[in-house]
Amino acid sequence: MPHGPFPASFDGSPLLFGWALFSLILMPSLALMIGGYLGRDLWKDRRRGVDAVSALRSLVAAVCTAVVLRCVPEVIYMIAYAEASQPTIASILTVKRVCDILSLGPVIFWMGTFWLWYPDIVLKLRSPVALVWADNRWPRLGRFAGVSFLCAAFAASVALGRAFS
Amino acid sequence: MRGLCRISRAWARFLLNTVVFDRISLSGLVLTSAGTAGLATAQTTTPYEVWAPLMCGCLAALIVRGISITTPSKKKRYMVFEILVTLLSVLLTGTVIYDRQYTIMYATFTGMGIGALGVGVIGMARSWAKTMLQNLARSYLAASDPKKPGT
Repeated sequence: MPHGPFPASFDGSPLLFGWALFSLILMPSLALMIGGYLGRDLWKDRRRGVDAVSALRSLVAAVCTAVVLRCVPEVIYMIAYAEASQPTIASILTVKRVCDILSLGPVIFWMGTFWLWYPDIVLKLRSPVALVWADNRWPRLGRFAGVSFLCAAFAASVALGRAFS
Repeated sequence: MRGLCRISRAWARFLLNTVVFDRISLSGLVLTSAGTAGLATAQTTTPYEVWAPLMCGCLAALIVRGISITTPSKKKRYMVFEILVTLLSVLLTGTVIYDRQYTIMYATFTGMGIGALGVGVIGMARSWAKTMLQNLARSYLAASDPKKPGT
C-alpha cells in the first residue's frame, strides 16, 4: 500500500470510514435514481412548456446533480486512497476541486428556480383542483430501502477489506 | 469407453466449429457463468484479499443495476428479464475479478462498468462463453489426439 488504509482524517477508524462511505455512496445513488426519473418526465412533457410542475422537477433534478457532483469524486478518492499512487490521488483531488466549482451551477439554478417559482408552486399545490392520492405510498420506498441496504453492504465490505488487508 | 471417447471428441469438434453460439440462450449463459464462478470460488481459500474485492465488485454491479432499472415493476415479464440481466452482470463481475485478481479499487470500478452495461452484458457474456468453450474444446482435442505417439 502506498499510503495507510484510510485517509488521515479518519484517524485509522474503520467504523468512521465505513459510515462516511455509506452516506457518501447512498446520497448520489438515490440522487441518480430520482434525477433519472425526473429527467425522463421532463423530456416526456417537454412540449407543455415551462410551468410550475416543470420548475419543481428541474429544481429537484438540479439538487440531485449537485449531490452527485459533490459526492462521487469524494467516493472515488476514498476507495482509491489505499491503492492509487500519489500522482493519481493528486489527479483525483484536482477533479474533486473542479467538481466543487461545477456544482455551483446546479446550486444557483435550483435556488434561482425556487425563488422565481415558489409562489406558483404553492398556488398549484393548494388549488382546489389539485387531487391528492391518499392511498398507500409506503411501497414506493421499497426500492430506496433496497439500494440503502446494498450501499451499506458495499461500504462495510470496503471498510473491512481495507482494515484487514 | 472407446465409443464414449469418440462421442466426446465429436462434441468438442462440434463446439469448435459450430455457429450455434450465435443463438445461445440467456439461461444457458447464466448457467455457464454460474459454473465458471462456482469453479473459481471453489478453488480459493478465504483471505480478505480474495473475498473483499469480490464482494465490493458484485455489490457495485448490483447498486448500479438497482438505480438504473427503469422498467415498470408491474410488468412481470420485463422484471424477470431485468433480474436475469442483473444476475448475469453480477456473475460476470465475480468471474472477471477472480480471474484477474483485482484489488478493491479495480474490482469496484469493474463492477460499476459491467453493471452500467445493462442489456449489453448479454453480448459480452456470449462472446466470452464462446471463447471459453472453444478453448476448452481445443485443449481437450489436443490432449486426446489418437494420432499422438504414446497415447
